[in-house]
Amino acid sequence: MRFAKYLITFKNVLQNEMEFRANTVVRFLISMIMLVSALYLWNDVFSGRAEIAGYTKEQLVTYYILVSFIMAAIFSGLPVSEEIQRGNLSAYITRPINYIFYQYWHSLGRKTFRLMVGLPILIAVFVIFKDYVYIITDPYAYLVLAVSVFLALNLLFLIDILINFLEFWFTNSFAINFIFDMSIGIFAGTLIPLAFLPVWVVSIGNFLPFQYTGAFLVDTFLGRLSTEQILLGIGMQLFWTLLLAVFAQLIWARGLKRYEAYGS
Amino acid sequence: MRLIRELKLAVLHIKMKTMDRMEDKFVFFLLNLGAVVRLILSLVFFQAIFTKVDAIAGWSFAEVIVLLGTWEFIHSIAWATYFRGGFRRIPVYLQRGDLDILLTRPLNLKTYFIYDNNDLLFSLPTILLAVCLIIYGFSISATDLNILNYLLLLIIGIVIHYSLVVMMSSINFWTIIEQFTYLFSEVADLGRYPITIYKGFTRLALTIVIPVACIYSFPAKALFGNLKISELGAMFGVLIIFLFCSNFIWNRGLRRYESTGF
Repeated sequence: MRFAKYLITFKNVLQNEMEFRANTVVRFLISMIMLVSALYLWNDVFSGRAEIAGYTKEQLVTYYILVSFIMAAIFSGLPVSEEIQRGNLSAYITRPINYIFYQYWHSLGRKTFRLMVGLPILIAVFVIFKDYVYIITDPYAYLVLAVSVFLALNLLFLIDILINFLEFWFTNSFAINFIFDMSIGIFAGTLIPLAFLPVWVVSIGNFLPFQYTGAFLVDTFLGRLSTEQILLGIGMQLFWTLLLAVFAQLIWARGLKRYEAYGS
Repeated sequence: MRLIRELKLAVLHIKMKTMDRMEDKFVFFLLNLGAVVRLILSLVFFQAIFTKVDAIAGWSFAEVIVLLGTWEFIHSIAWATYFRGGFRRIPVYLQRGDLDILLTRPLNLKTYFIYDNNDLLFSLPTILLAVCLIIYGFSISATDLNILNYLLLLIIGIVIHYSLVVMMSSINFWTIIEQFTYLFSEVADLGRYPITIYKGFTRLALTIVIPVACIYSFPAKALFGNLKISELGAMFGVLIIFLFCSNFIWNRGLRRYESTGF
């Protein structure tokens, strides 16, 4: 019964998102614009080459399609910093709910809806570009992708909420969010696959959780990782989730002591 | 008289916004750190590609660096002036009915949006960084440079960019695009790459329909003396057509506007 209230939040968000479904469709369509330049750029870079950095052209095209789809589905800003700034947090802390849990289920609802809407779009893109993409027929790859997407979704939520909690100490934490958005592009491999990056960049990335929200998922799906590497990667996703969840709880408790709200 | 009044108003706005922004020193530091990170990431991206190939669609590393610097420069100028607070916020103004109060003022809204909510102070380091990148591109190039041509086409590029922003934001008068900022930044991102990577209809569309080629690639090509006469002609053609169309669509949009506020 304790979870019932969060499940209701999840359902409400799904219903709300359904009302504004056109917005979600537009979000996916906009994210596909990036594919135009990626397809042309790599087509030129690959001219006369069978593979670069271990990727064939088809694998790289599939990489960009998947990574832009995953990011459009599971990468979303939380309203937490705004609620702290405006003093709206008071409405939540007086209720018998765990605020982090509440935000988690709220965000899970939005992301689930996006995945549901995005999937037919993704299939359509694969059908349109069938001659340029790398088709995976192994059902095991789809299962591992689903698991790793779910874990990445949790990880991104925790990173996001931690950055939002900085609002307790700094006003306008959007600036930190801006740096975070930049960093994820490179360390998660959404800008370019990690195999193309200099060793020093990859070394920094190994100490951060970002690669487990993007590149790891797609490289696993493309069959570029061994079973040991996949298991290790999933283990790292769980490790970072646990670490950041504990950290989020601690920061929340500390931040709440600093929180002050004025007004009616 | 009207021009002088607009100029006075612009100076006043810039002063006010600068004083306002001086309060947020930490945000100033973070935002510019973010801009530096973005620039480094773009460099890492292209450097990573250039470790595998000698040229991208005929563009050398130096040429790509100048293109990247040009993109950053125009992006920062737009963000510091007309895009950030003015045209980007049109969907919000329309939803809230906030445009009414602006329309009752004796000013040209299309000009007002250039300086209203400007952020020149915070954007200054990014603009300087973009200039450094362009100079770096100059310095590693072995060919003769046409700096005057570059500067002229850069100014034309900014005017076309402004017209494109006006046209795209005017669509909101017919149907509100809530994710307008996201849409425009994705469209502008197409110009970060040399126009020659695009083929056939896509290249044509990116030259005359959404002219990112004219805005970013052509000035960079002109600097290295690679711009063809036909491309120069296309750029001037696009400039005239976009100036006319942006004005026309904006005025039609304003005529269509009906307040939804209280």
